[in-house]
Amino acid sequence: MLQKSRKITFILAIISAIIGVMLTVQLRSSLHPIHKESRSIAELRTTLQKELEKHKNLLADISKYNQLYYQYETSLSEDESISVMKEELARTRRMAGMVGMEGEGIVIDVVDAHPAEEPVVDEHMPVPVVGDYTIDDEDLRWLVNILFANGAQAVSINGHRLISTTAIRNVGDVIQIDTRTIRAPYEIKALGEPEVLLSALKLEGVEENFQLANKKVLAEKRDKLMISANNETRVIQFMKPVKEKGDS
Amino acid sequence: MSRRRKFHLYLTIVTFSTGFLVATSFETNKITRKERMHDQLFQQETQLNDRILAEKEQNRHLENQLLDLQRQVGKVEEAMAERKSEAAETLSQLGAARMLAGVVAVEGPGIVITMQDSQNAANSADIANYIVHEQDVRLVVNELRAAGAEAISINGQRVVSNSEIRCIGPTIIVNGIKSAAPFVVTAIGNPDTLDSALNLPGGVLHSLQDFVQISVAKKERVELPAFVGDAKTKHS
Repeated sequence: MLQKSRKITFILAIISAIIGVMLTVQLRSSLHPIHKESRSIAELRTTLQKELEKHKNLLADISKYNQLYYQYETSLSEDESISVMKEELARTRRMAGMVGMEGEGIVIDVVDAHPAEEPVVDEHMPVPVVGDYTIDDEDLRWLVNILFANGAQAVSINGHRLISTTAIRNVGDVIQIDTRTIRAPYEIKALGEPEVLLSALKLEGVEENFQLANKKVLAEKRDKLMISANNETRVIQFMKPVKEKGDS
Repeated sequence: MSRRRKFHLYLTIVTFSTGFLVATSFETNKITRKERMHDQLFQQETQLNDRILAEKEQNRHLENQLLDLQRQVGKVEEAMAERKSEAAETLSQLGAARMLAGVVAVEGPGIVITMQDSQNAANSADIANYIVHEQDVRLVVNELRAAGAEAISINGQRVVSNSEIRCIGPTIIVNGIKSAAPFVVTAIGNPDTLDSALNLPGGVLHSLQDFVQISVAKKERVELPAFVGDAKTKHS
C-alpha cells in the first residue's frame, strides 16, 4: 500500500516536472520570434557603400574644379586662360562623346551564321529557323547596355558613336541609330577593360541569344581601338544650366 | 489518507515549479546569449545608420561645395568672356558641351514618366508580365531620345553617354547607383512632342499600359541633376 502510493507520487512528480518544462519552452519560444536583423544590415552596408562611392566621386569632381579654378586664377595672360578654357572644352567634349577616343577594348561582330559551315549541334535547343526571328532594336540596346554596365566608356555601332541622346529603334524593317539606317552585319566597338567586357558577354548569354536569330557573335580583344566622334549636330533648345541651387 | 493526498498535491505543485524553474533558467541563459547577439546586431545597425546619415550629410555639403565651385569657375569664365571675344566663343561652346556631357545640372520644360509594377501583378497567372523590366525603362528612354529629348534622368541619376540601365528585382541601377521603384524618368524637351511620341497608337505607352502602371505628366519646368563623378571616363 505504502509502496504503491510512493510510486504514484514519484510518477506524478516526474510528469509534472516534464509538463512544467514543456510549458516554459512553449511560452518562451512563442514570445520571442526569430529576428531577421542580418538582412537589413546587408542592405545598410550596400547603402553605405554607395554613399561612400558618391563621396569619392564628389571629391574627385571638386578637386577637378578646384584645379580648373586654380589654373584660371594663376594664368598670367588672357591667352593662357583662354587655352585653359579650351582644354576644359576638349575634356568636356570628350565626355559628351563629341571627340573620337582611343584605347583598349573589344570589337563585336554580329554576322550571319552559315548553317552549312557550322552545323548547330545542340541537343537541347531546336535548330533556329532562318528568317523566323531577326535582330531588333532591343537586342542591340540590350547588348550595348551590358557593355556599359561593365564599364565600357564609349560604344559605337557600325561607326555610329552612342551618346546620351542616341536612340536605337526599328523603323520598318531596318534599325536606325538616330536618323541613320544601319544594316547587318553589325560591328560594335567598345572601349573598356577587354577581359571584363568579354566575360560579361559570356555571362549574360549574348551568344546564345543572338544564335536564336541565326547570328554569330564574334568578340575580339583589341589593344588599340579607335572610336569615332558623334557627328550629329545637336541643337540645344530647351535646357539651360541651373543657376541657383534648388531644394533638391 | 487525506494527509497523504494533501502531500501528493503539494509534491505536484513543488515539482511542477521546479520543472518550470529549471526550464526557465536554461531558456533565459540561451536567450541572454541570443539577446547579446541581437544587441550586437542592433548596435551594428545603429552604427551603420549613423554612418550613412553622416555620409549623406557630408555628401550634401560636398554637393553644395561643388556647385559653389562651379559657380565660381563660371564667374571667372564669364569675366574672361566679357574681356575677349575669343573667350566668349569658347565659353558658349563649353557651356553647351557641359550640358550635353551632363556635368552640370539643367532645367527646362519637359516630361515626367512614372513607372510602377501593376497592382494586380500578384494575382495574375504570369507575374513577369506585370512588373517593370529594364527593357521597359530602356524602351521609354529610347523613345524619349528619338523624340528629341535633350537630357534625361532616371530616379535622380542623369543619363550620360555611357550610362547603363539595369534592374535587379524591384530596384533599378543607373550609373552604378541603385534606387527603388517607382521608376521616374524625367526628360527635358518639347513636352508636347515628347508626350505625343509616347502616346502614338501602337507606341510605347500603348504597349506598356496594359501591363504596368505608367503615367505621363507634362511639366513647364523640370530640373535634372548633374552627373557626379566622371571618374569612370577619366582614363583614355
